[in-house]
Amino acid sequence: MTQKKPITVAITGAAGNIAYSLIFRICSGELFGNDQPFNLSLIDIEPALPALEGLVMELQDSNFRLINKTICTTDPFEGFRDADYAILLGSYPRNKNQTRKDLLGKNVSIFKIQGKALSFVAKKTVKVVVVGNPVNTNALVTAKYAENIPKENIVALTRLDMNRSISQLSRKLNKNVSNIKNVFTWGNHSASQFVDLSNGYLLEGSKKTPLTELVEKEWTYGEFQTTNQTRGKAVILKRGRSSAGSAANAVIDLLKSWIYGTETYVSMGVISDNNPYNVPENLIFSFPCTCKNGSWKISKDLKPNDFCKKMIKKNVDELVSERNIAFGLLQD
Amino acid sequence: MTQKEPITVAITGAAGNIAYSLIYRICTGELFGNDQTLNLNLIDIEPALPILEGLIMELEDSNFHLINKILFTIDPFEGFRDADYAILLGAFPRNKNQTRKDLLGKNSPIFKIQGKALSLVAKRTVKVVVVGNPVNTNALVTAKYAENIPKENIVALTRLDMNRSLSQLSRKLTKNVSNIKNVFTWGNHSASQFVDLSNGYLLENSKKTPLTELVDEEWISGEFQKINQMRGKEVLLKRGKSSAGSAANAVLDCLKSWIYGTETYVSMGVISDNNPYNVPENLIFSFPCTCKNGTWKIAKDLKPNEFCKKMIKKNVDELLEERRIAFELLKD
Repeated sequence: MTQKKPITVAITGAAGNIAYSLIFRICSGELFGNDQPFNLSLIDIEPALPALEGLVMELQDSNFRLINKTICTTDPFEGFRDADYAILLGSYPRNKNQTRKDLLGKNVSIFKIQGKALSFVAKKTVKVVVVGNPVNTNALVTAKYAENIPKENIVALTRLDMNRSISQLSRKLNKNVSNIKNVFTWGNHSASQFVDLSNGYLLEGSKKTPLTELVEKEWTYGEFQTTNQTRGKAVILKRGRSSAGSAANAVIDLLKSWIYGTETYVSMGVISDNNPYNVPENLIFSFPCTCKNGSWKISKDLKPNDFCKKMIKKNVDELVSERNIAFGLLQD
Repeated sequence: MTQKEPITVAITGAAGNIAYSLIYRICTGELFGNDQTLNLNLIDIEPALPILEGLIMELEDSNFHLINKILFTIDPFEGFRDADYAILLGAFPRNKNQTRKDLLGKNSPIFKIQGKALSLVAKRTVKVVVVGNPVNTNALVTAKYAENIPKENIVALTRLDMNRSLSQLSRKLTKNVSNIKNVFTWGNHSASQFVDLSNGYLLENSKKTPLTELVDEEWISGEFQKINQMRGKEVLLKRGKSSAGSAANAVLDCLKSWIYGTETYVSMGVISDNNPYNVPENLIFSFPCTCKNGTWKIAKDLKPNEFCKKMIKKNVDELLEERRIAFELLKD
């Protein structure tokens, strides 16, 4: 029986908390299957190398039979070599007094290098999930410089926002999360993010009940939005640490949808070229997507209402402004 | 199609780091299967309640369809109700200047209460994995007071030590861990722990090569033991945090072996009654075990050599002394 060839999974920010929650789950075979061995390429900055070594020791002590090879490096040109998947967790963290422009400035140079490295050494078919914030613009910069990689292969994680909104609806309606479909976010992973449930439904047996029949409009545009936006802060307040476990879970959910397909809509931050909702091209924008045969497709024929269109425009303006700042700083 | 009834999984120390690495992997279906729904009972002490709440928020935000119900409590008599599985991660932590007697003194009352609670409210068939240190004696105290639970149902985790020794051998021999079998520890999860590879073998295709033919005796009784004993400290030094991920993985491995069976030997800290190696009864002692139909059995017909017998005796003496101290402190 021929065994499958190993695939290569590269992870930046590999010494961090999201990685710690993510990597053990990947190694268990949950994402790629119990018969798919893989090479792990763990990338982080120099000060994090001891923590990375400690992680590798723990992975060895977990006796994961699916791990073929592990490398640790500070160099993305080494780390992304032959990558089939690249998960970009690492980014420059936000300081208290830092403006968004500063944050963009610190991060664009990182993602420019990563884009170039991916272009140079990764497989052309590499699927890239960007997580480090500000995620939409970091993903756009990556796509800009990853000239050999189709822009469609680079996705920003907006799945956690979707999962949180489904979790909120689950509590509101007292129903299992798996019965709630087609709820997603538009736009930027920021305070402007807008959760749209107007196409969502509750599935019980074969019966589909539109969510708009089950919750009030005021709640939909008010508390539903604010609870979602502040969920991350609420978790930090309780745990004393940020939501690494649920963020890692969202990465896995995103990749499962992307790789194995989904007919119901999921949130993905994708390149806006040729979208049917008047979002300008060349932005990474969270859209409702379906997936099939390893590619995503923006869902057509949704009819955003006026409030939704207003929120879409707000997100467009914000992302265009971020792009201007980022590309301005990157002028060669 | 009738869905399975949910099983109840109770976890103490649920707000801690090992729990954070463990619970997500349980919720994916990795341990109990993709069709087995769960009730999660999360138990911890009062100061940890906010963190527990934060964990639950994250589990909700992970949209695990297998979670039926989650409760959190500081009361084991509530937390262990109807438990099918109880994983006792929590224990009083060791202070710098604390003697082992102090540590035993702080922990014995905790595990006495947990034993009584399990006896009163858990299912009689509950499988209990004790992890909190000093694990062997904590497990013994639990077994002593869990009068309605067969002593065979209470196991101390010594799997991490076994996994670490396999990982070490994997590096030494440059072979995949899954090819190395029948290596295990005897005795106490302490500095006296002894890793025995005298029955171990390397499996390649269908060829079994005894490990004793591949490594020299000096290494076996010297460096092999020392590196294993130091591994936890080494990880702590590199990561700055203790080995939560690999410990959680060992809990999963222990339960997988116990529930689904294993013909090759695995390390389990089990009640020593009726063992074939002259270990006094009424100790929780790490033995090589096989598992079938949900029960473990101490592997017979192994012939410990002189060095091994010496190490077994050392562990016996240590555990007898711990038992003496613990039971003395618990005298009603």
